[in-house]
Amino acid sequence: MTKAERELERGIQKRMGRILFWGMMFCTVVIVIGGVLYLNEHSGAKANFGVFVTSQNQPRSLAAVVKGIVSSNGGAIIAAGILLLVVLQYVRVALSIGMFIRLKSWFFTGISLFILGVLLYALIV
Amino acid sequence: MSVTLFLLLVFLISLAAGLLGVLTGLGGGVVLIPALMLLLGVNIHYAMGASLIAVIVTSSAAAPTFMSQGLSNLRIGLFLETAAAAGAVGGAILLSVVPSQFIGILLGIVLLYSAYLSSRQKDDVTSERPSDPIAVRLGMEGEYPTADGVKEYRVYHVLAGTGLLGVAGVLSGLLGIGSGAVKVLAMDRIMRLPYKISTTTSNFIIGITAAASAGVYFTRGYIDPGLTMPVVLGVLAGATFGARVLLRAPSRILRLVFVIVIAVLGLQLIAKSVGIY
Repeated sequence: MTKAERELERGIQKRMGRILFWGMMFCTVVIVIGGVLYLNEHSGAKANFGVFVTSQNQPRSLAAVVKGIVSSNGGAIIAAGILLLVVLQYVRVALSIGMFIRLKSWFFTGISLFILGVLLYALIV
Repeated sequence: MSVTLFLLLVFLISLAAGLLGVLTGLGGGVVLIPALMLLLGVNIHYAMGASLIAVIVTSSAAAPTFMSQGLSNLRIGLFLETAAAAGAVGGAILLSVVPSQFIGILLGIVLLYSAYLSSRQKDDVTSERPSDPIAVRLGMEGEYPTADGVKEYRVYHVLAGTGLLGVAGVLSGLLGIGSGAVKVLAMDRIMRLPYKISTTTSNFIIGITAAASAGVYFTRGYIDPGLTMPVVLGVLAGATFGARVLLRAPSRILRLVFVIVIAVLGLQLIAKSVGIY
């Protein structure tokens, strides 16, 4: 790698880092909003995270999350923020694909595409 | 105890987990699961779900700092990640058929073995032997900052490291952690990268590995929003601070912290799973 190539790569990585940073901040804001609502809803309750309950508390599908957001359910809004955090990782891989295309590193473009493929496959499984 | 107080304690534990997670490249999940289970009696499934998200947060919070410094080696990281991500999907599928007691013991053994391997490690050694030809061909070598200025580093045994990362991926899916420990060890001991490059590169990819398992965890209800909320906030704060500390701290001390943390946790987790606690 020449010095110029290295500089270019550093620049792209710095930008990637900034996008990740702001994405993280956005997700945090969503989670904080949901958190405030959640604490409000559960303020008097006793903490019970010792038993695994396969029913009400957590939304387990995208539809449930959306329903919960509409009814201002704190837990659902937190869940939305968490899902966005997961999506951010997909964005991270997509940004890497973009970077390697820009650097004309086709092997690593392929590597990154493969990883994205595995991630997408994981969603269907 | 009230929900509010409980979650406040979770936040404080997560602060420590985030900090330690970034300093060691482990992602904090490995610290978080035993801490939540042993100190607060959280059920293992919720602990695993929260820790998986914690790993994503650690990865995302520290990435900006490390990427602006050019420490994380994306080529090495993503190359290894192909094996880890594929393994993670497989591991997450095994979740429903593997009992949680077994998972706890397995995790404990992984930690102890990691501690043993790491304690035998000397400081970063720059060898004069040329890098693995694969590494050279793929442009994996890079530079890292040392006390004597910026130096180049070599990369060895790419394929062996990748194989180990496949195992790390399966563990990640099974245990709800980013398997950062195995990743750091593979890069540190097999590929012989400088410690700070191993940890920052691991930090970059553990979020991706965790995301691969996240879908499964979510649909099984392992990710409780109420519990995960203070975890996200605590880890975010701890990891952001930790990223700054890592840049300045000497590798020797970081390695020592790594060894102590995972050895203690390994013992505790085995004890708990076997029923001593």
